[in-house]
Order: sequence, then C-alpha cells, then structure tokens
Amino acid sequence: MKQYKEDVADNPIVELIHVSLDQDEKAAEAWAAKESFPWPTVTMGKMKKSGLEAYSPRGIPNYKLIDKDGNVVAEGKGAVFQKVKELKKTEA
Amino acid sequence: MHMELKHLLAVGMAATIGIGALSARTWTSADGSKKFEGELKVFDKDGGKVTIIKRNGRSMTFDITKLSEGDQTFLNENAAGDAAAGGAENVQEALKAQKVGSKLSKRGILEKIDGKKFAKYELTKAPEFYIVYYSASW
Repeated sequence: MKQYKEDVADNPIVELIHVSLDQDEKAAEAWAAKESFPWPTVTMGKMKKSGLEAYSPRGIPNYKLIDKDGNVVAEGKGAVFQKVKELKKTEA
Repeated sequence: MHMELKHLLAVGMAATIGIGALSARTWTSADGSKKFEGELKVFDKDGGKVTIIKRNGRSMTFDITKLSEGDQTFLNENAAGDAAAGGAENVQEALKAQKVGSKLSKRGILEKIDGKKFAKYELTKAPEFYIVYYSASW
C-alpha cells in the first residue's frame, strides 16, 4: 500500500491493476473492503475478457509490469517497483 | 440542406484545429536555454505536474516550474480548462488505442471498492505501464 501511494497513485504513466484469483467474488469483495484497496480490481470471472489471463503467474502473490502494448517489462515485486522508480526518474 | 452540411463541416473542422493548436506547441525551459515541440497530454494543476508527448513519441512528466513563465501561464490559463472539458474523453480515446488499455476500458471489466461493495470503475489516466498484481484473499 505504501509503495502504491509513493510510486503509483499520482504517477500519470503507471497504474496498478489488482487481479483477484478468488473463485468466490464475495470473498474478493470482502477482502478489498477490509483492506480498503485503493486500486481497481479485475475479479476472476472477468480475467479472460480483461486480457490479463494471458499473463497469469505460476504462483501468487505475483507482480508483473506490462507496457501498454502488452510486453512484460519486469516480474516480481522488487523488480517491478525498482523499474517503476527508474521510470519516475526518467520522466522527472 | 447542402449549405447546412457545409456549415456543420466547417464548424467541426474549426473545433478540431482549435484543440490541436492548444495541445501541440513549442515548449521552452525555465531558463530559456532549451526548446522542444510536444503535445500536452496531462496537466495536473493541483499537483503542478505536466505530461508532454514529444515528437518522437516519448512522454515526459515534470514539474511545471521547469517550464518558462510563458508556458506556465499558458497551462494555467488555457490548458486547465481544456483538460477539465475533454480530459475524461481523451483518456478513454488514449486507452482504446492501447493493446492493454482497450480491454481494461471495456465497461464492467474494472471494479473498485466503494464502502463494502465493488462498484464499476473507469481508469482516470491512460498509463504507459501497468503493474498487474495477482493475489487472492486465501
């Protein structure tokens, strides 16, 4: 949540999309409400239509950084947020 | 009828040119040493940040204090109103042009928590990159 606020919330070139792999959408909703997730979510039933099923990881939790053309730029929480920080410096 | 059509076309063209002229311009650095051409993408008046797409397609986001006084005046007097009027529409158009954004911007795909329930959500920016966070409550 802290990294989201620091590196994503006010960053015009990066957005975070949460893909919930909960089979039970009510469970996904309850979790998002409990944690007050500030980011948009794709629930499992809409994953295929969202185009994000193609990037499904082997295990969770997992982070991927994808460019607007669909290329995977980085994978793994550390690598993803490091790349985002680099992008912020480049943009500054 | 024919004249009405010509009149409508003329009005439409004038509006389009007006928006283009407002967005694309030559920008000057605060010290006047550098100039570059680019199209205004986002102006966050509250945050004092501007995102400009250069002619080579690369986007740059920076504090408006890095721009000349003239550019800052231009942004504060003209672009804020333009962004407020057409910002949301521009974001949706930009998303449609993306491989990733075109799917995410389809109605009903994204949701965001609103109190205790998910509510339909539309992206408010057309980012260059997406962090996709896969997880579950269990």
